[in-house]
This record gives sequence, structure tokens and C-alpha cells, in this order.
Amino acid sequence: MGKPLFQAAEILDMAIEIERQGLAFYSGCAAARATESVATVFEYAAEEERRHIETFSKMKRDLAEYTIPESYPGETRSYVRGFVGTRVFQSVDEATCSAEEMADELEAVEKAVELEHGAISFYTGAKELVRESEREIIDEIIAEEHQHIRNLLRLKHDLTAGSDEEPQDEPHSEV
Amino acid sequence: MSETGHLDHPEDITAFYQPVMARVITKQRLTEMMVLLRLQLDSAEPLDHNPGEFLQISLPGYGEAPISFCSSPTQTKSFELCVAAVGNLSEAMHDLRPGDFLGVRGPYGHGFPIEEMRDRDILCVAGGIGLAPLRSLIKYVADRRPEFERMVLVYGARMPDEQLFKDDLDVWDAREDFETLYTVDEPDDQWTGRTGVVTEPLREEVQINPERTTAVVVGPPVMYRFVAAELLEKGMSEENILFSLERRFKCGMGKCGHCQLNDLYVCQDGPVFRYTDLIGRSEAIEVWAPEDERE
Repeated sequence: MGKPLFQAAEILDMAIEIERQGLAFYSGCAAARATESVATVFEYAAEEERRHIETFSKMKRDLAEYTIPESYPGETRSYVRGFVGTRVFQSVDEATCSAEEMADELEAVEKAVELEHGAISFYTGAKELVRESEREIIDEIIAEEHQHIRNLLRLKHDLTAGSDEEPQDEPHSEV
Repeated sequence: MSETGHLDHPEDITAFYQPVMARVITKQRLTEMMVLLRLQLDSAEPLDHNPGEFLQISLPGYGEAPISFCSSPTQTKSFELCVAAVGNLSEAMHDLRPGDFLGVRGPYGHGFPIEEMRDRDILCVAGGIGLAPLRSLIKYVADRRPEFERMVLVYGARMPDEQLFKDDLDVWDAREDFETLYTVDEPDDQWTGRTGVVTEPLREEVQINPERTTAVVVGPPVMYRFVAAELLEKGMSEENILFSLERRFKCGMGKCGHCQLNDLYVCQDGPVFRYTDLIGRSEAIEVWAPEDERE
């Protein structure tokens, strides 16, 4: 049985935090890489994160506000950030190093896909931490991430156009 | 009066409300907001409290408030209270000097289940001023170390200046039979330790055997659910997770209802609760997310 530790609105706060981390991570990757094509991939991924921040913020507006008195301003945000931690994204410094080691734009897309799968894994776990009645909202977050992966795979397909590689379908088993 | 503070006979009522006098032995400023008072009953008798229990403290003209013990019952000649300046009474307590008197009644409440905790690993997770009530347990374990297995303390403060009991923190850190992890959320230029909230070192650095560990969690309301999530992820059962909750106590005897938590009275049934005791209790908002009321 899942433990209703959080409300869906709080998972959305975590999702927004993850997207912020992703934005910083991908922006760091884009800035670090000399090759323009790799930078373009990461800029695209960063833009997707920006779009998700807006989407999740809009979703949150429709949910009840649940607040616990803070012992200092920003305490809840600190705990949200601490909870998200490095479960999905590494630090921006690590992102920079990681991007510098990438051979080409295909590797960059693969890295982004891997990270988005990590985010889906996080939300799948988070689903167990909300009441059953609110799990639909978490499914919407997961669906957004699957769409992000599909977009990345389409990009990968476009990058490999001309080669023999076929676009792969993105599995949906987690939803 | 029974061990748990419940009244056995009506004639107990007078004794229950009657404070006894305690004298301030020493006063030590811990932070800008907190002082540590060492007190002794006028009769010089020990209070025989258990770690996690509390006293009702009164000063004529200022009122009465509950304050948890922060000293171990192994310290028999005096007891200590850590007082945050948050209201008229506590601010007046900050002005007390050695030799001054105040009224005390108690001890009250259910503290930590020491007997069950013996021969087990103890994982203490404290946030902010939550270290104060937890100190009574930590010092108890320190004084009776062979009776317990591992002793792990994870403590987070907002900033270095707000760390409580710095001398104790150093002593515990130096002990080979204690594992300590201290962190601050907002470091200053001099801070060289961990940064972040208490859940970060708990997740990343603490490995436990969930079967043999009892976790004790005391801190600000925001902290509890995040710590619970980490502990559950580490495989702990709710049965072995203890929370000490803070509510506005008034009478201390389950009559006034100020500290009611659904069908429980925190002053009598708590302040220490097993996680399992709080399941389904909607007013335990620190440890469970409430239902969205629009449903």
C-alpha cells in the first residue's frame, strides 16, 4: 500500500524543481560543448524543460494549496530540493564535465533520454506517496515526460536521417 | 497519578495542578533565541522523568507553558530545559538569573520507549530546535552506552549560528561509538561542513539495518514527511519510526483539548508517537498529507 505522504500539488512542486535542475543541467551542457550540433540538442532539451515548468505550474494552479507552517522562510522549498536532490540530475558542474566528454549530438540525445527516463522513474515512485485519488495528476506528469522522450527520439531520428537507423518507439510501460 | 500522567483518583487533581518550586542553578545562552536553564527542585529531589517527557513551567504573572526536558534522567541532581523566546512567559524565562525560582509540575506525557529501544540501533534525526527534546535521549544513551547498539545522530540547523548545544555536538562527534552527521541549510563563510537539509545526509550517507533500527524524529513540522519518506525508502516499518510532535498544551491532563489530535491528546498520549499510531489521523498533518478538501 502506498503512503499518502504528499499531495499531488507537492509532487508538482518537486516536478518543477526537477525541471529547473534539468534546465540548469542542459544549459550547462549546451554552454560547455564546443560542437554546435551538440549544443543545439541540449538547447532543445533545455527549452523542453522550460515548457514543462510552465505546464506544471499551470497544473498546480488548479489544485488546493497545502501549506504547513515554516520555521523559516523557504524551509519547504529547501526540503523539496533536498528530496529531489540528485535523484534525477547531477549538478551543473557534473553536467559540464559530462557534456565535454560527449563525442557527438547522438550521444547527447541519448544522455537526455536517459535522464528523462530517470525523471519518469522518480515520478513512478512518487505516485506511491500520494493518495490514490490524486494519482491521475502524477500520470499526467509522467505523460509529459514520455512526450519529451518521444520528441528527443524524433530529434535523434532526424539527426540520423540518411543512415539506416530506424526511429525507435518509446516504451509506455511505466504509465 | 499513574506513570503516564493519567489521574487515578479525584483527589489527585489538586496535586496535579499544584506546581512545586525549582531554582535556577545556571543559565547559558545557546543562540540568539535559545537559553539553557539548569534547575533544581527546592526539595532537591529528582523528577524521575523519561527522555521525551515534558514539564509545565509557570511564572507568576506570565502564565504556564509546556517545555520538554533536554537533560537525561541519568543526571539526577538537576534537570535542564531549553527555552525559545517565543512568548511572554518564555521571554520572562530568558530574564531569569541563577537563584531565581519558577514553578514546575509534571513530568507529563509519553516519552521515548526506552525499554524497547535497548539492544537496538538508534537513529536520531533532529531539525532545528528539535534537538532539545532529543538531547534527553542522546545523553541517556551516552550515559548507558552498552545498553544500545549503533547510535547515529543526523542534525540539521538553518544556519551555523542556530546550531544548538555546540559543545555537546563536538563531544558526540568525538566519540568513537557515536556516528554524527551535522548539516546547515544556509551556510556562512566560515562553515566547512555539510550543506542542505537533514534529509540529504540521511539519504546519501546513512546506511541502516531497518530490522534492528529505531528511528526517532524531532523537528519543525515541515521536516517530518520528508524524513518519513527517506526512512520508508530505507526499508523501515512505521512501527519503528517514532515522532515527537509539538502541540499547544495547556492543562497537561487531557481536559482542555488544546492539544487534541483527532481522538488523541498529545499531552497524555504523546508527545512521542509511533508512526503507526498516527495512521488515519487527519490532524497529524506533519506526517500525512491531508485529503484535498474539494474531493
